[in-house]
Amino acid sequence: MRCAKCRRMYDAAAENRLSARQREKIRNHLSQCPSCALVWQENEGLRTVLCESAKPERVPSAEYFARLARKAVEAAEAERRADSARPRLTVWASLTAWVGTVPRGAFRLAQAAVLLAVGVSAGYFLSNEVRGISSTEVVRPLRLALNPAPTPSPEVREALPSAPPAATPAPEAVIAYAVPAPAAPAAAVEPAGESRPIMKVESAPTPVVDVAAVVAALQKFSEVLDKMKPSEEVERLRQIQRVSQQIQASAVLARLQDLKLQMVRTGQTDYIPDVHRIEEVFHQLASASRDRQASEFLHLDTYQKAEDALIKKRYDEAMRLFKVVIIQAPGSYLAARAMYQRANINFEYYRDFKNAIMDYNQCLTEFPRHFVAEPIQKLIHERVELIAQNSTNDYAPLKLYYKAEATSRPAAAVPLYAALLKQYPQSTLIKPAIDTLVRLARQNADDAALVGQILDAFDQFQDQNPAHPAEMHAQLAIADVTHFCVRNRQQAILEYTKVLDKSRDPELVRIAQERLRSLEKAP
Amino acid sequence: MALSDVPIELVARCQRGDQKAFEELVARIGPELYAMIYAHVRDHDDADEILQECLIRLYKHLPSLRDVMKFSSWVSRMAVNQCHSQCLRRSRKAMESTDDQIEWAERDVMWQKPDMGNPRKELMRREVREEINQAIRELPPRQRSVVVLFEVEGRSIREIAEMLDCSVGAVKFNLHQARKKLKLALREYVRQRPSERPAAEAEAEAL
Repeated sequence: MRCAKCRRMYDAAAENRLSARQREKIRNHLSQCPSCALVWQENEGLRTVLCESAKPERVPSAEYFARLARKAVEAAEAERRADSARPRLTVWASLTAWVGTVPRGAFRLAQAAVLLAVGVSAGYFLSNEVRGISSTEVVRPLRLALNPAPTPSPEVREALPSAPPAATPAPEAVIAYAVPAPAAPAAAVEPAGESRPIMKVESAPTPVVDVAAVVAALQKFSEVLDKMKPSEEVERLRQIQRVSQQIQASAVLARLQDLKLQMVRTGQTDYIPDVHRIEEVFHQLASASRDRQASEFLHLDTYQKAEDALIKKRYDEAMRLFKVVIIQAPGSYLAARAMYQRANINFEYYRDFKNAIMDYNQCLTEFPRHFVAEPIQKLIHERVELIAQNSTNDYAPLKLYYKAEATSRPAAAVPLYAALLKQYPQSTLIKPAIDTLVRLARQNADDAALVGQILDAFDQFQDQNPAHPAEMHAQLAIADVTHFCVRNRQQAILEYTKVLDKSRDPELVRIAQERLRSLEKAP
Repeated sequence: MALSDVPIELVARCQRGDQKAFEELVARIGPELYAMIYAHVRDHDDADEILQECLIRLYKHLPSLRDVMKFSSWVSRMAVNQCHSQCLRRSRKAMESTDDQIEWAERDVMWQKPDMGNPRKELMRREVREEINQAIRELPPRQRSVVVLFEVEGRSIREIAEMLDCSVGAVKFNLHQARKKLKLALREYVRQRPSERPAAEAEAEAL
C-alpha cells in the first residue's frame, strides 16, 4: 500500500467503513512506515483533543432551559401579534392620496413607474421574507400595495385600466399592474405626438404626458419614503425610486438587469420569472421605440447567460458569450459591460495580462461615457497602470506575484516572493510582496528556517538595491521580523532605530516609533 | 435524552401549538442542543444566544415540518446552520443594547457546578482548553462545522455534505484543511498519544 492511499483511508477508518482486509493492510503499512503512523497518530490525537474539549465545562440547569422555552414562546407569539396588529395602508394610502391630484394622462406614467418600483422591490422583500431574513414595517404595506384593500377609492378605480385582481398572490399582482400600463412609458420614450400603443390597452386613450406632474408625483412618493424609519429596505426602495424617475425604457431595463443579477447572486431566484415578464414588456417598448439605448437591451439574454456562466465559474463560456454581446450590440451599454467583464476575467482568472490590458484600454477608449461610476473607473485605471508598470519580460513580475499569492504552502510561496525581490526590484509589486513576506513570517514565527529565508531575502534586496524607494520599507520589515519572529530585542531596537534615522516617510517613522515604545515598555 | 429519542407524539403536540408540550420538548432536547452548539462555537455567550434563536425558530417553524420522523435531523441541521450563520455578529450587537445585562446576572446564578465525577476528563486545565477553543474559533465557519460534525459528533462525510448542502469533495477538502490548521495550532497536544498526554493531564490533575 502506498502512503497517499493509506492517508486517504483515514476518514473511512474513522467512519468504520473498512473491511477486515483493508484494516489488515493498513496495519501492516503503519507498522512499517513511521511517517504515516505519525499522521494517523496525530489525527487520532486531534480527535481526542476535540472530543474532550467539546463538552461544555459548565452545564446549564433545567431552570435555564425552562426559562428559555418560555422566552421563545413569548417572542414568537409577540411577533405573531405584532404582525396582525400593525398599522396598515401607509404607502398605499399615500399613493392613492396623490393619485387624485395628478392629471389623468400623467397618472398612467407615474403608475407604471411607481408600481414597477414597488413591484420589483416588493419582490425583493417578499423573497427575503420567505427566507426568513427580514420583516420590517415596510414590507407589509408593500404587500398591501400589491394586494390592495378590497374597496379602493373611487379615484383609483377610475384610474386603473382594469380592475386589479384583489386576491391574487403578490407576484401575479406585480405583473397585473406592470403589464396594462405600457402605453405610458412608450409615450415617454417617444414624443407624445408620434406615440403608438405597443400593447393594446382596451379603451385607453393615447395619453398626454405631463412630465412635470409626474416628477411632482414621484416627489411626493419620495417624501413619504423620507418619513419612514430608515432601514435597509427603505434605502433600496429609494434607490429604485430614483431610477424610476428617468422613465426611459433603457434606464428601467438597466436597473432591472442589475436587480436580476443581484437576485442571482443572493440566491433569491424565486422572483426572476416575474422580472423577466416585466422586462419583456419593456423590451417590446424598447424595440418599437427609436430609443437606441433601449434597443441595446435586446441582447440582454445573451449577456445574462454570460453573467450566469461567470457566476458558475465557467469562464470559457462566459468569455465567448460576452464576445457575442460585444459583436451584436456594438457601442452599447451592454457591450461596455461585457468588455469590462472580459478584461476582469483575463486579469483575475486567466492571468492573461496582455489581453487584460488591451481590454481595459478598449473599455476606456471605446466606451468613455459608460464608465462614469468612480469606483469602476478607478479600478480600471489602477489595473492598467499596474499591468503597464510590470510588463517586463512578458509580465513576469505580475505572474510571479500572483503565482506566489495562489500558493497555499508558505514554504513554497516564500521562494517565489524572494525571486520577485531579487529579479524585479523595479516592480511596483515590491512593497506588497514585502508586506506579505512579513505576514508569512509572523504567521509561521516558529519555523526558523522559513523566517531565516525571509530575512535573507530582505538583506539581499537591500544589498543589491541601495537607495531603492522601498529600501526603508524593507528595513521596517526586517525590524518587524526580528521583533515578532526572532524575538531578539536588542537587534530589533537597532533595526527600528535605523528606520528612524534614515526614513523620510512619516508613516514608517510613526510605526517604528510605536514599536520602539512598546519594546521599551516590555520587560 | 438524545434528539432522536424524542417521542413523535410530543413533536406532534408542539406542531399543534401546545405551549406546555413545547416546554417539555425543550427540557428534553435542550441540554443536547446546547452541547452541540457549544461544540461548534466554543463560547458560552454565543451558544446561549444561538440556542435562544434556535428555540424561537423551532417554535415558529415546527408546524411547517411535514415529516415528523425527520425531526432530529431537521433540528440539528437548523442548529448547525445557525452556528454557521454570518448574521451572528449583527444580531449580537442588536441584543447588547437591550436587557441583556440583566439576563447575565440572573443566568450566572443558574449555572450548575461542573460535573466533578470524572476529573481526568472534565478538568483539562482552563488555559489548555481555552487554547484549543481559540484554535477552533479561528477556523472559517465551514471548516469549523465540518471538523466538529465529523470528529466530535461522529457524522459521516455523506451526512455532513447533505447537512451543509455541499458536495462530498468539499467536505473532504474542508476537513483536510481544518485538520491541517488545528494540528499546527495544537501541535503539542496532538502529538502525544491520547493515553500519555502529560502536559494536559498532569496539569489537570494538579488543579
